[in-house]
Amino acid sequence: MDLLSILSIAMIIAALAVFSFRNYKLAVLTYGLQAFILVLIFFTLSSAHDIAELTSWGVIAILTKVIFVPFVLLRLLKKVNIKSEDEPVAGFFVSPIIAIGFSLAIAMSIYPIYLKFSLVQEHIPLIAAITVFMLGIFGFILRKSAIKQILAFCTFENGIHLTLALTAYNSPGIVEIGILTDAIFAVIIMSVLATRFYKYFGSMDVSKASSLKG
Amino acid sequence: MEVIFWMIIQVIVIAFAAPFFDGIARVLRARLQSRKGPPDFFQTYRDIIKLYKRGRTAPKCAHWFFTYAPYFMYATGAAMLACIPIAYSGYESIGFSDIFILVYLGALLKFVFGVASVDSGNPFAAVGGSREQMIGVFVEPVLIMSLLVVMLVAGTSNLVDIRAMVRAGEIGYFIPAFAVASISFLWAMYVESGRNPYDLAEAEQELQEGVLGEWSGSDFGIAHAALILKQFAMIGMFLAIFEPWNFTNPILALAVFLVKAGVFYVAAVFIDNFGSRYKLISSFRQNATFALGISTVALILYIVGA
Amino acid sequence: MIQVYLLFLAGCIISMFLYKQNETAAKVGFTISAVASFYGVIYFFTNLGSTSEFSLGNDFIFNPHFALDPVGNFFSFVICLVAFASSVYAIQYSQEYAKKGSLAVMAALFNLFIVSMLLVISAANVFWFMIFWEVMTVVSYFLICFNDSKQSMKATIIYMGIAHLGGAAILSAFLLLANQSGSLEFASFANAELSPAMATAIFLLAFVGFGSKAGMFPMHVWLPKAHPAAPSNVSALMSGVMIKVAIFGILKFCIWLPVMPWWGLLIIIIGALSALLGVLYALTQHDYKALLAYHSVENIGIILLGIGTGVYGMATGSSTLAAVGFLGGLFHVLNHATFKGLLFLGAGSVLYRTHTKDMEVLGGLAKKMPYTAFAFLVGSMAITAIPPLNGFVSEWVTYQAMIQGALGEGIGSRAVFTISVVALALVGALAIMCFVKVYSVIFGGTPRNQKIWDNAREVPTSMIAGMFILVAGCFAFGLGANVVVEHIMSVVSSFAGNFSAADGMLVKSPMGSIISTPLIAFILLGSLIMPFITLYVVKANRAKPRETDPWACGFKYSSRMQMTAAPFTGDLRKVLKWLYKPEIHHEEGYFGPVKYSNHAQDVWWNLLYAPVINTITKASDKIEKMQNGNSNLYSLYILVALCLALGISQIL
Repeated sequence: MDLLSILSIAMIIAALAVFSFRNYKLAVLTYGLQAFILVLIFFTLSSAHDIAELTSWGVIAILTKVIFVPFVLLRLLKKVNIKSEDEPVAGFFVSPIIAIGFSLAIAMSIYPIYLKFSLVQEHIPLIAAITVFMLGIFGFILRKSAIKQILAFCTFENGIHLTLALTAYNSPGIVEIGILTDAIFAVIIMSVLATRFYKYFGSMDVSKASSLKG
Repeated sequence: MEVIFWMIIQVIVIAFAAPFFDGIARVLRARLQSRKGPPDFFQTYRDIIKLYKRGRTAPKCAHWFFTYAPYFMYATGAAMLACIPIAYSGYESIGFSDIFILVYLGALLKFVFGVASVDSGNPFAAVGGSREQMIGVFVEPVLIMSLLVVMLVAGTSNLVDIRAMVRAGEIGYFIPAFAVASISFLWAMYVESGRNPYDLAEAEQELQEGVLGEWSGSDFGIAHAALILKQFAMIGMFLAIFEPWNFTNPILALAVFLVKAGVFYVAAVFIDNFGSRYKLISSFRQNATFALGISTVALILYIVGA
Repeated sequence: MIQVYLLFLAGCIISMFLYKQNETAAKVGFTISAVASFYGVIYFFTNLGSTSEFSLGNDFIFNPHFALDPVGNFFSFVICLVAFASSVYAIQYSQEYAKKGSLAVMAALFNLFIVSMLLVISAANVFWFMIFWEVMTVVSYFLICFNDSKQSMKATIIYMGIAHLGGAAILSAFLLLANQSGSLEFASFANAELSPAMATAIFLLAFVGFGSKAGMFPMHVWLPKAHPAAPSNVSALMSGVMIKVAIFGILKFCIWLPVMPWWGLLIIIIGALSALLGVLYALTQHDYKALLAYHSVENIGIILLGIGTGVYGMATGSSTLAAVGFLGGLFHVLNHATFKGLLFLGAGSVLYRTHTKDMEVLGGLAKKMPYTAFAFLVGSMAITAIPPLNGFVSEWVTYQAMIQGALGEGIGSRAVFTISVVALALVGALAIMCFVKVYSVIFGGTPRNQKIWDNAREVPTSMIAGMFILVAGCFAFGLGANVVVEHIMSVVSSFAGNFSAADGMLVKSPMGSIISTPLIAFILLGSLIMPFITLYVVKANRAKPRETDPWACGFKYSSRMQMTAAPFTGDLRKVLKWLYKPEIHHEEGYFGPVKYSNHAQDVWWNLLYAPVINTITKASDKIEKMQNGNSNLYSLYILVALCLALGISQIL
């Protein structure tokens, strides 16, 4: 087991923890940890494969993902003042199992396709990237809470970021800028929307929003 | 410059001679209808001059376009005459004698006529104006198809050149398409010149036209003269293309043209006297379809290369 | 060229900054666009024959790369010309919308609209072309939305639907061509090795795609609905120049592809059909803005006749024919932009003072709005190709080109060319009927609705100025036809053959036909003096006319007696019942009044579009069940779609 694989597996576990924790504050802090692991993976990759770009990606990711996003989300939690999540689809215990099971299955089945055109030929991190991405998607599907959905969005954003680092770190600067700023603005906008949502519906349950359907 | 000089002479001479032929036509028509009719051939001159002396009325609602429409019509009719190479047929074209200019000046005349008729506010005038437009729609395809055949056979739309070619025998009735086109053009010319049974601009208000009804005095006189000019222009167009044999000397050419056009103008009396008046969208339409058929034959003859 | 674009962008940004001061924002925004387009007019005119390009940045996937050749310069000139008049006009016209929406947004969008059209013209690769093409569509959509009514909403949806179908066709054409040439840069397209079948497929896709935007038959249905729905200054731009951008696209593809003779004939046939059907439907309209929009269909047809002849000439290797054909087409592009812009601005002025688009209640406005009436009259005469105005010259050139085409060998091409000439002549006759109707019913006669007439008065100065810029254009391009022809020929010779069609004051065709518009004007004016001299010589009675009511066969005259728009074309409608398939309602009142209504329909709507729309509506009713408002479920859809996409890519 090399460092990269350990970090990758740690990232999957962190993502699952973000997904599962009932306490919002804990989940947000775990997200910070997960992002930090992502940064560590960047640094490791950059030293192992001698890729200068990834170092700068890592530095920027510390600023945005490790510090800024959790900060915004913690402020949001303070504002709406709720501690823990309501019952998700399929229950607290079963939903993480469904999520991780399907995520791993999908990741295992599609990672060979990605591997074909990856610039960095690393198996475990690629599987981890797709699993994290899928966990994010399952977060959307299975969790009703708006805050959990924001976290799910951030999680799959991390997955995409890692996938990009592995497959195409040499993509033009404009793409990087896109990915980094996208996350920041999306989180800001979504947290504003979540505050509004809470004010209007008195809860974070997005399934209540079906009354908005035209 | 010489061309323009002869152009002016040509227009002025025809403009002043035309009412004489109208007078002949009126006398002849009266004889055919067993009426006494005008005393001599100069009645149209007297009518127009009498109109010039009369006072005028104008509808309250009409704006400047209506007031000046007779003058626009007269100018257009005169310009159409100027377009036809008669006196200046021996000179090169200076950019005015073109079939399309002639056709679109005719369009200008229709435009002025139509707008003035609706602007007058008179219900009969406007119905007549609409009718006039409709006649234009019926005639236009026949007219342009016949002319198109001529232009294709001649390979140009330059009237001076076409006229010279026909006169020199380079193109002419030996080409079947040209011969057939002359027949359909004759129909188009007859209708466009605004004669019975297709049209009669000063006819009874209740029946069809009355476009001229709201003009009076000198305005009416001018409008009347303008319509005669237009008729001569249409005849002139036929003569210039299908019967161009004439002298090169400008003055002689003009004299011969006047006689020829006069013969056509007067002969038309025989048609309009014995024909019944047509309903626009029944019998007229059938007639137009027939003429369209003839011109289509001409066009097909050209297309297949005959 | 970049300065022009930046000026418009500045206008866009500055008017947004003035968001709070609504009226100032409009004045500033439209003034900037007027200045920018005036600068553009001068810039593109002086640099007509030159090529220029610029590109931005290197860090994009497709670097923004813009280039202008003479064709691009010409189209940019046309856009700037109409934009100039329309901006000047809008400075005061936009106040009409002060209560309906934010004028700052309107001015910003207006600037953006113009610059997006300019950038479509100058885009030098597929990516940026499509980006600005869509921006142009979307911005025009937003601009239509300023007239917030149910009808205009429906119009915009139809517009967007057809625009997107067209966009898809264009993109497919581009991608196929790029696939063959190996690069998305336009510069590489000319060297692409194409098989005839592939070239044909690309051409047809492009023709359908651009044609749908240009409003050519049978994709014209959206145009008469969408163009009238926009504010009039925008209508002028949409009808005047936006559809020309599509013509630019068709032209570009014809330059890139190895053209074949039958393409030219196809373009001519479609052009003749568009022209004829456009004017026939225009005749039945009572909404004067819809009528003008149908005339855009007609004029696009006339432009296509010219372009088609040019393409045919190019394909058969006859460079003179190609030159004259393209000359006719491009000249008509310029002319149609001028007079259609003018007519829409005139219509906007009428709308501004009367607040109705139905001409049946107007009448007698020439006395209240003399300048507008004059401008509209000039526009009407120009569009009906009355010499010596500009419309005549371009139609004359088109005629000459088509007749020259008909002189060639081959029964098929002869038939197509001759029948199209006849169609064009018939269009001319019908157009006169139509514009006699629209001008005289709106501006002539007695008022049909006294209240509207009483409230009407001449429009503010900037609106008159906007119209008269284009009036001047109608006269200048007609009387100075030799200069215009010379310049356009320099554009045409950059991609097709050359023929020196201007000779001193004359415009001549390869067939030896010559016209001189100054001479026509001179003779017409000279002839106009004749009746006055006659009257002077015979000492006619020129006392001021006595004003009376029109004669009504002895009855008391009432304004209800006079002609309105519908009966003016009554005979034509009877003759063409088979085409219009009108809905006739006839109510015989015994004591009450007899009611009769007769509405002609655009049958192509029922024939081609209604079935598609019905199917889609039914399908979406079924699909609606999937939309249950639960966002978790929506995410599941995304996952499923993702897996499907992966699965498909795996199979392929």
